[in-house]
Amino acid sequence: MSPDAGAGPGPAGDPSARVRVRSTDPVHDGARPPTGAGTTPGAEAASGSDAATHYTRGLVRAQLRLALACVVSFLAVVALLTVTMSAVPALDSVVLLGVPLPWLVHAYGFYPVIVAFAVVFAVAAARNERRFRALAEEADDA
Amino acid sequence: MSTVLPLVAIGLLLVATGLIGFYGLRISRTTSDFFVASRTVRPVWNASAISGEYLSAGTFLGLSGLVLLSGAEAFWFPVGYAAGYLLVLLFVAGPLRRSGAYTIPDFVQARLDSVVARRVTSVLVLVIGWLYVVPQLHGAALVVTSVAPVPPWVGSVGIAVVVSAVVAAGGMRSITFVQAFQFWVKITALALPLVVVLMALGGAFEPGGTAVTFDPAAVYPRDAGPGGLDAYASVSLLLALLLGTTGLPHVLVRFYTSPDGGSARRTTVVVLVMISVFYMVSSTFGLVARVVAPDLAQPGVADTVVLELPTRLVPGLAGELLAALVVAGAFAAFLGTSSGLVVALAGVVSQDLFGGTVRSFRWSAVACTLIPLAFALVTIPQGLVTSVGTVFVFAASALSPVILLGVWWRRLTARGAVAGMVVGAVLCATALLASSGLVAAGYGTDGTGTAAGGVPGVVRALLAQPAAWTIPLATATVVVVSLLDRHGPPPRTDRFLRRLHVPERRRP
Repeated sequence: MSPDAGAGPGPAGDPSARVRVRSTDPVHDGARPPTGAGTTPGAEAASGSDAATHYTRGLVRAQLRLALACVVSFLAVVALLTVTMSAVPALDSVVLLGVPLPWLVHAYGFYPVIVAFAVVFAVAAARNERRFRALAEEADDA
Repeated sequence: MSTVLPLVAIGLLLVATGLIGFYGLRISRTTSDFFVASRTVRPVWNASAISGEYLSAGTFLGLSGLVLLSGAEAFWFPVGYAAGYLLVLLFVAGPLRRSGAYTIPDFVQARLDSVVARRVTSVLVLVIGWLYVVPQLHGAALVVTSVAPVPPWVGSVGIAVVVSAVVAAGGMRSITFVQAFQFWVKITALALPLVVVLMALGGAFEPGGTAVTFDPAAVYPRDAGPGGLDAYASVSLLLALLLGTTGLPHVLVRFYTSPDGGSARRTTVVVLVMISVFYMVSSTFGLVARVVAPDLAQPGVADTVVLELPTRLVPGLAGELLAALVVAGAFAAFLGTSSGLVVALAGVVSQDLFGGTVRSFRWSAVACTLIPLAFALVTIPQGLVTSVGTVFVFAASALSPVILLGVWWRRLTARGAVAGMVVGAVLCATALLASSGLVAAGYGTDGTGTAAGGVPGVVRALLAQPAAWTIPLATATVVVVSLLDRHGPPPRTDRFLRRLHVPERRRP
């Protein structure tokens, strides 16, 4: 993120900054080539912070969607494992190392699932944040 | 079992804990060191410390005891504890690290801009923390009486003294090292004896090399296995364990010691791997216990089965040494969990009542150990894993809805949060007290029990496992009261939520 973004929240909360956004448009249109360098920083900060808000909402929504998708599919796998190990009596006669299969599933089967979901989530959440950073930087540079 | 070796093992553990705590004392100099180790703890250290404090007496001793006593339904506890950590990772690990708060009450106050909400949260955090320390002290009493001819209070008082001394002396920084060390003690003290015990079962120490034989259908009957699960009790318990972890004071305070949100997430993944391995080892002890020690399957005695197995299966000095190692691991479990809780609680008390100075933190640490100690001395130990599970039910009903909605829902208001916390806490406490009253009167928690009639089985089941209805009711209260609140969410909400969810700026 460029230093502009750091200054963003301050001016955006200040009412005078909002007025300046409206007034820049005509100036911008009328004298783009000569004064471009002088007027763009104000416009940039305002539009940059609008975009930042937009992208922030997008990020929060993406992370929440990801977390909910993970938890729903995790619970589905747990339900499937539980129903299989408890409602299929035939599995009781499958004995490994002296222990019936349903007992083994209950004692060990859930942890690999939990760790797998944790890894998938951590990688995907980091990717969401990278995408957000890239968009935010693009908005700053535009 | 001989008395000398276990006592030597406990002594060595305490000396090591004291030395590491002292080393931590020398490098913790600032107030920030005391509360959150200045947020400079490396992920592997931090993950070991988190695992070291999360693995308590409940899973070190209680799990195999409950597997022995009541069968496969006991496996829900470790599965739920691990899955609860998964939910912490999914919904709160990154955002809470970025919130910049020291404790849960700090978070609630910063999010809702309300001192009242903060005070209510503080009270709940203290209740949850104290309830969680009690089974640790009970566990210590149980172990001490099973290895030495002393009264039970010696174990509880001993643990309380060491914990308050280490926490008061070194704060979070030294506790981080102590807990990381204790995690490795715990896992070694279970895994090594387990390997030897399994070799013994396979016949490695018998002259003829014959394996122990048993009838799987008798040792692992279908009724006590997954085939006999009660659907409502399982779902309700699992829901409580899943959501309860989010509301535990010592779990959340740990994220504040990670350098940033991304590393908080990575640390949590490592923690999940570590605690999963531990739970599998501990579960295996439960499976072995059903083969070797069916005579210990009585309430009150079952929780000592892990201490008994090595001497039963491994002859001579080797068995005694392994048993001493298990005792040291059990004490590491009591110390690790209690000291983590006391750090979190002392942080809350000293910040709420005394402005958060180092001096007040020290006194708060002592007070926060004495209160659960008094409680532990006047109550009778129940099954360790069930007592810890009850704390999860309470945390899930009282605190978790507000924390989760605080991170993800911008319409949350202070009134909604307070109403939800009060409703969740009162409903859950009433249900649990009513249920234990019924059990004391001779009713079972389902259709069984010596007393008959009067209270339908459905009601008893609902009271015994209240999470399935208390959590939804508490959450609904938070949502409805927040939406009706004409003050609306605090004005700084959007800024605060942005801080929670936007990744930290990369360092140049």
